[in-house]
Amino acid sequence: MLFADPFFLYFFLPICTVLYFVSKNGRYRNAVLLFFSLLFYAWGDLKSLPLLLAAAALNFFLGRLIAGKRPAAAKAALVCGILFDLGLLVVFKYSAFFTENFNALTGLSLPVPEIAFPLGVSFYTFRLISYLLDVRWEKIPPEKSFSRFLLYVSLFPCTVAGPVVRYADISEEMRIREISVEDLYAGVSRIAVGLGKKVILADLLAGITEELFAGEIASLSVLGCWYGAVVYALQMYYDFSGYSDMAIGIARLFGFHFPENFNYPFVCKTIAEFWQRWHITLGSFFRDYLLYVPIFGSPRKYLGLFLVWFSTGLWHGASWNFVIWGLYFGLFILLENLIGKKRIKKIPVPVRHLYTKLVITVGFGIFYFTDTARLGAFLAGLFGGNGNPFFGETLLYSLASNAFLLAAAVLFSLPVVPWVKKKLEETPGGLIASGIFTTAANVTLLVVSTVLMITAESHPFLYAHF
Amino acid sequence: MNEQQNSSGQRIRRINKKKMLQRTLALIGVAVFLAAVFLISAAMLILKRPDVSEQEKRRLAEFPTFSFSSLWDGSYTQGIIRYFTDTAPYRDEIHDVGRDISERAGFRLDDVKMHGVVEPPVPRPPETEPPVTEPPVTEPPVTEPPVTGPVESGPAGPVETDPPVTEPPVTEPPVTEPPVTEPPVTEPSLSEDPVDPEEELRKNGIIVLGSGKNTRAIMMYYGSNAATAEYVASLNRYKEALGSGVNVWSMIIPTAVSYYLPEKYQKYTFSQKENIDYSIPLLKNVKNVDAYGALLAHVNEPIITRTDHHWAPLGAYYAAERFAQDAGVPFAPLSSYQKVDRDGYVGTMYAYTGDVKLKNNPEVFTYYKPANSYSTTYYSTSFRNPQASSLFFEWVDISYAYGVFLGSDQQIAVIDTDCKNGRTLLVVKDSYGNALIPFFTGSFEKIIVTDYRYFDLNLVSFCREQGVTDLLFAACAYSSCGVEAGYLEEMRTR
Repeated sequence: MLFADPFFLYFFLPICTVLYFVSKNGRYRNAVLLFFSLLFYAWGDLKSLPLLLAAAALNFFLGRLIAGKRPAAAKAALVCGILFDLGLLVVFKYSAFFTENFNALTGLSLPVPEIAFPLGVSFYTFRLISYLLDVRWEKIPPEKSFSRFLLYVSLFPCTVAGPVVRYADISEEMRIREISVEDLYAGVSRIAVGLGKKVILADLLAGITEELFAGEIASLSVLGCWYGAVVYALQMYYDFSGYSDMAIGIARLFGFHFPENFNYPFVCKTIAEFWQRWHITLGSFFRDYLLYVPIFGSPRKYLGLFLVWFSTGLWHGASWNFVIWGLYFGLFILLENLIGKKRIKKIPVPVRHLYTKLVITVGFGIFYFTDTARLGAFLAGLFGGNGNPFFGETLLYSLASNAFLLAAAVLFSLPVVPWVKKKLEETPGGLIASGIFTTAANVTLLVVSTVLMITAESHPFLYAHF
Repeated sequence: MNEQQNSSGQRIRRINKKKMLQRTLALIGVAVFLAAVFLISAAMLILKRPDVSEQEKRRLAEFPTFSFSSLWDGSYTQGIIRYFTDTAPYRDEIHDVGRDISERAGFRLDDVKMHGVVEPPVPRPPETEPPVTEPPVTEPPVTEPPVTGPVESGPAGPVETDPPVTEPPVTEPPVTEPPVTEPPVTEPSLSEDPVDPEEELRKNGIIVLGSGKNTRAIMMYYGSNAATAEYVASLNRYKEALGSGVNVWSMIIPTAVSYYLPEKYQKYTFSQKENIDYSIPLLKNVKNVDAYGALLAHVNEPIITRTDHHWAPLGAYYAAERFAQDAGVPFAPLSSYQKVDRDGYVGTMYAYTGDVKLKNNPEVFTYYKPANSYSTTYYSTSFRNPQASSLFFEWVDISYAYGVFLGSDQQIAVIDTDCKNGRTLLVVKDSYGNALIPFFTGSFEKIIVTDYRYFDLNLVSFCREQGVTDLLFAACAYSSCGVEAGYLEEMRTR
């Protein structure tokens, strides 16, 4: 089940919300959320529900052991838990990839396992790992109630495609939640904005990307390749940040305050800054649990950096292009580290913007092509390596027929709306105008998105694949 | 001191007032949004859900049947989600609004919108045989044949995509009266497995150009001489097998791209004319029917539909006339036919592209009914279960207007006419061939029609058994210069 799906928006969510608000009793509300979270998961992937339950049960038990008084048992429990959680990823996400590559390297022909990818496994395993490590490092006490822990693991706003919400982020709210009118307003506004980002912008941009990239990539002009990559970068931003907005908004309706996952990443002036603004919860997960793990000794900085970006790439998919994509960004971050912040700041701002946008654009081109031959053709095409003209006429027609969409996509990727809203709300009259406009915009986004959801074929959230 | 207290008090009051205002606005905002959600929810649950989409020419998703296996593998729950969206109340009207919204994503340059059209830089691979240099019968409208284009192994054409319209007619006793008196026999059946429009676009690309009643959708073409040669070789083998007693004819039917694509956009397509010309000298005792030339003389008339991928009946008439001349059979003038106009036709190109200009500029679909007497019997694809019915399926909805001829491709039709000249014509066709059939009722004593994709017997034996005197292969260039040869060989050798 997708958030941007009429069935979810007009059937599942309203019923869940109404039942949730029937009583103010915290246990009842948690029970409702747990039931609907498990239903949401089962609806999408019933076969994998036992795995989710088993993972939750094991990690719950191990969490208690880790917090226990026997150090040896705690250490063993931590190792077991992390191995189990990572094992889930290895078995279900990477076993086919590893086997194929092993076969290719050795010339063997071991059978390639065909294992179905459990829904949300990339996200909930990271949340489980963060829980175990946080308990080990005594940042949080272990959860004593299994039902509450299961609710944390399965909480439907963030189970399938993030954000990577840590136990510490919501442990208090698992017990007591106050829901104000402002919370509800913020919640519905985020849902509307997220829905609009996904359905109006990301899905329409996806049409352009498909036209450009799904066919014969070697036939694209040089500018066509760049244009396609820019559009895909915007599509990815609206797709994933739209999902995150909806997740944050839905959680807010039920009184949870999820961490932000995107903060206008395209305003960045360095690649490091880009990753502080893009998929923030994943970046901070790697930073907190991988980069600074004291297993690398003193030269950990570069080894850790490599491991972080290798893992970031591989996490996004079992394909070499994702690994290349991760290392590609890692390389630029390493270069920025070597140059140093002070020297970078001396570079004129327009140059820094140009540099980051070029790197990001090429990066998302790499991200798109899971087929290495096509990726090669794309990279060659970016620099005229396919022998194609610099400019193709179809580009002009595509730009014209998507002019307003592209303008909106660029405009809203910048923090224009918050700026206008802030200015407007400085006076009482402006506050009223802002309120009216926000409400009207929310309803308009809802209605337009609904029309487009019914019109279009289903476009799953891209991050639900990861 | 008092002033300070007053000022501080005023500030607190201002803040409280602002908070109150914010809270009120938030309350209104939440109420309005939730009201909208619950209103749409209620509409989704209460209003009648359609089972058919006239626009997409298909039956909509049905509520899935429960089974433990379907629940376990997820198909049941996914089926419910699909049903919920696919059968949304007023879904066709909502689709129109959605496409209007999508249209507002930009503007049209030169009144042109390209759907899935790709740049043409890939050089065409060298042909195994040199291209034919014989001058064409008529001058093509294309001034320069494209020298580049997508690879040869490219797309199947629209022949694979014509909207399935009817089930084979059933239950009526044989009739001998002209079909005007025949009652409708079956309702048209709709596709359960619709063609994926995005896939079609990806294969060929469509350019929508012009405005108002001149709006036209043109699908690009990527047929090849290699595939054409295979098609011709197969026809030659048929002729060889059937001997001199049977005339074998080849009619490669050109489409809109051959006549209506401005020169500026010719670079995005291959040339059908080039492939047709290539076929002619390769034919051995098989006669070519110059449909291309027959249509070219009438390009200013509605010979090809604007919103559909098929030709118009008038185009079929001119091609049939050329064939009748070549075959030496009588041919009734157009004036002798009963002309039927159906207004408001929006064809498959709208489903492929979702281009609102097509939807907003429907066309008149005109077909012609012969005045002579004939009877039509339909058989299964293995020539069993004869069922008498009508040649014209006039009760089909306007959205399936092209389906008026024969109703469906998935059957064999036999038409017995009052033209007692001893000639039996077997037409092996794709959906383009359907529009030809009414014009042959005054030319042949018996006409047998089968679709090359849906024929289960050996075609050579079938010709002999049926006493066929003329075997006409009539399909669009996408088929003949594309995928058809494989089917023909299978029919010949099975």
